Amino acid sequence: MNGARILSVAAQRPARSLSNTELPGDLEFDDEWIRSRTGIITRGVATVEENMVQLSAAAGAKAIAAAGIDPATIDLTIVATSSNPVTTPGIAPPLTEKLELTSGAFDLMGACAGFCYGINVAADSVRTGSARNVLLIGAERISDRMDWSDRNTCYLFGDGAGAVIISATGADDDGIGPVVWGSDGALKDYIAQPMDSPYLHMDGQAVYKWAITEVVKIAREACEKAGVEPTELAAFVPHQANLRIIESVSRSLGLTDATVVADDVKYAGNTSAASIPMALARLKDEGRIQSGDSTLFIGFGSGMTWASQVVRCP
Amino acid sequence: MTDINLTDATTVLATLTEVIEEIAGPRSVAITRGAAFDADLGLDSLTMVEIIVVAEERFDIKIPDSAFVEMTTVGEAVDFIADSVTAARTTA
Repeated sequence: MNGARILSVAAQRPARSLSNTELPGDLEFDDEWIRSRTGIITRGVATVEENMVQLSAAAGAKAIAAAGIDPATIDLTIVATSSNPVTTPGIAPPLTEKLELTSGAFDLMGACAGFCYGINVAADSVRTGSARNVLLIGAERISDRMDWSDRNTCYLFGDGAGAVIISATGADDDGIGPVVWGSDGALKDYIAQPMDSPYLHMDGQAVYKWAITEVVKIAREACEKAGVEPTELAAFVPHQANLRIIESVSRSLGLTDATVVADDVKYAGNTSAASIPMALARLKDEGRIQSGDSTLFIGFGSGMTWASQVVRCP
Repeated sequence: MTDINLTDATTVLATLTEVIEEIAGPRSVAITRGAAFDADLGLDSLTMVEIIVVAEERFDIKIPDSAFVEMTTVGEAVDFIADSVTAARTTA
């Protein structure tokens, strides 16, 4: 059995970044109100040309280049997303065509937890020898499903893609901790696209209450399984749903200034399955975390569903 | 916590004040029964959710969303909590 590690991370952000006062539609928002409730300052809104394959491929190409691997050794490509505009084919096959890969390819629908689900699927694939390298991408165009007249949701979300290469390594060099994953389907209506609507709906207050109580427990369990105390983490990279949730969970975990907490939500909004790799990429690009740093990922969202693991920063 | 008389409104107010200041930091005005959560204490709805979650743990009660939305002042919260603690102990 091999070990698994994250070799590289990269992000692709839409060219267009909209402030809180530049949102499409007719609603007017107070910039300070949005910042105080969510932390969001800007979010990326993709153009027609920045389709799912384009965003995913751009992030993927950067991650492949940063990893320094032969693309022919990528045996599996996974795209975590809920933004495929059609039921079939998935985003992953045309993505592999664009990147000139012939790997296995499938989409993973785990909502905002999709990337962390994908981390574990990819890690187990390389550990067992099913794949030498896995290209895992979280990519979303949530703007396609946004009701710009919905005052409860339209300022929260953004578009983008983040990619990692997960690679086989020595069994004693494993850099991806045990996963904690689960679901509570009784809460399936908290965040949902109803059958009779093309738009995403969310009970924000219910989600907020769930997140500030349950995410802490999940995070603690992931740390315990990895054999680290939360306060020993070099970085905390949770799903970038809302800065208030991130701050509340960080406080509850007892994190100090010694732990860097990802805050990409300020600039990208909530990008669902893309949020964790995009946030990790920002921390790396800004030099706020270093290779080898112990980092806690936690994805959570629509379902409700979640997945979390401690990893070694690429 | 079990040694404290959490059915006593004065004690409940003191404990709730602790919770508010733990979550939101010290307030610029005194946390009294008459203080409105939003207008006087500057606590927005998200902060109130956090306060309610911690208050549920601290007092070992459940505060239904239907009751929560009715609480606009500290006094209303204190009275609900004291009544809930009393009811919980009566049925225990």
